[in-house]
Amino acid sequence: MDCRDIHERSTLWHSGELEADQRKEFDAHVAGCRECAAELRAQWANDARLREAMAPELEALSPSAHSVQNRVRRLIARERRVRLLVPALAAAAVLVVGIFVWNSHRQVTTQTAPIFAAAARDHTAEVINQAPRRWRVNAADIAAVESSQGIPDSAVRSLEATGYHLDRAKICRLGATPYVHLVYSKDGHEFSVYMKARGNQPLPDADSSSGKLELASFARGNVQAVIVTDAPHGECAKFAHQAEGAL
Amino acid sequence: MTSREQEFGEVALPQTQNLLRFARRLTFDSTAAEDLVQETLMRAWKGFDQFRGGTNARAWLFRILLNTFYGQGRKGHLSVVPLGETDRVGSTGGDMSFEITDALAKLPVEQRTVLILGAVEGFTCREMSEMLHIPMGTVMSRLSRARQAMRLHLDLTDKDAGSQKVLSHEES
Repeated sequence: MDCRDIHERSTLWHSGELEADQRKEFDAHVAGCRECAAELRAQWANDARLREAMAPELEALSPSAHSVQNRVRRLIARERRVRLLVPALAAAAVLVVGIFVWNSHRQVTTQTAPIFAAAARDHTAEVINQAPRRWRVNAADIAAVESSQGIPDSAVRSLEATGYHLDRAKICRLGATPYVHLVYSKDGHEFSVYMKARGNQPLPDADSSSGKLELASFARGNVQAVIVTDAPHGECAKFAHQAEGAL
Repeated sequence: MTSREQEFGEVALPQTQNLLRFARRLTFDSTAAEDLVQETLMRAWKGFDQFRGGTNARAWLFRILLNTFYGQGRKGHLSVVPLGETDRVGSTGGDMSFEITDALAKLPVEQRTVLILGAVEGFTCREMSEMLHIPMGTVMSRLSRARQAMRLHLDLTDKDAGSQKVLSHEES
């Protein structure tokens, strides 16, 4: 190594990055070269002066450093809150939409539910309590009643094939709407079927109950029907299923 | 506080003072330095998932600071530092401290950067090469020139101070 090599590699010597053999050569040259030794000593001394001059800054910067650290901690905490808040807000939004949809559905149900209540009242008065009404009992009269409301007699009669006997029929009003009120019987239970041509207002689509009465509804083709009976829930559902199938 | 935040607090935040000291030498403005370090730490936080435990956190943070600094386009106004500004930043000691920081301020930013990183912060040439995205030979030559320039300036200052002392003695 000559003085030029020492000059080029002095930075690696200062940082301790010289390989062992290079370090050996480097030190050997410096040991015998007064100029290079002086140069390195001066560099070393100036580095040390620089470190000494800047050392007090660290302590002096302590308040600023704390201020920056606190700001960073606050920003990180805020970021965490936002990260947690976004899914919570999304969940809340889903909940709000769900409540809105459920409430809308509930309003529709509430609007249509009085049909069940009216049917239950009518069945109680006319079938269970046997209030005097002008029932049609022979086949031709019943067919005439059905025809007047656009209900096909064949559909009504087809239900009899499943074991239910059509006893009587008449026109009645549920609310302000005229219905064909048919009364079927089987195994000691009577089933009121309120039928009309399907309109714009949908019927409740789920089974329901009102006091001791079971209620059901269905729509098939151009006909929609409400069923009321004092038979058990299973019997009511079975009748509704067969009536729907017959139509 | 999550465990990740706690780990960040243990790994990165203790470097704040060193980062600030370095940032002040880059920006020559206390507020800008604080902003730079804050942004550096926030970037470090966002990339903390990529940081591998056991690696050199100081080098990682200084690299982010330099990337942030140069990314903000501040390089342009750094190489020209008003002399009057230098005594406002860092000269917390006596006259010697002022001479050193004054000499440091007169260096081009590239040389000042490697000199502080190498001589003060103790980074190796290899680490600086990775930090600054420049070849190791370039780091070595910049550092060598920075040391020469510092020595020249300090020698002149020392001589000047010596002649002032002689003059003062003769006058008395």
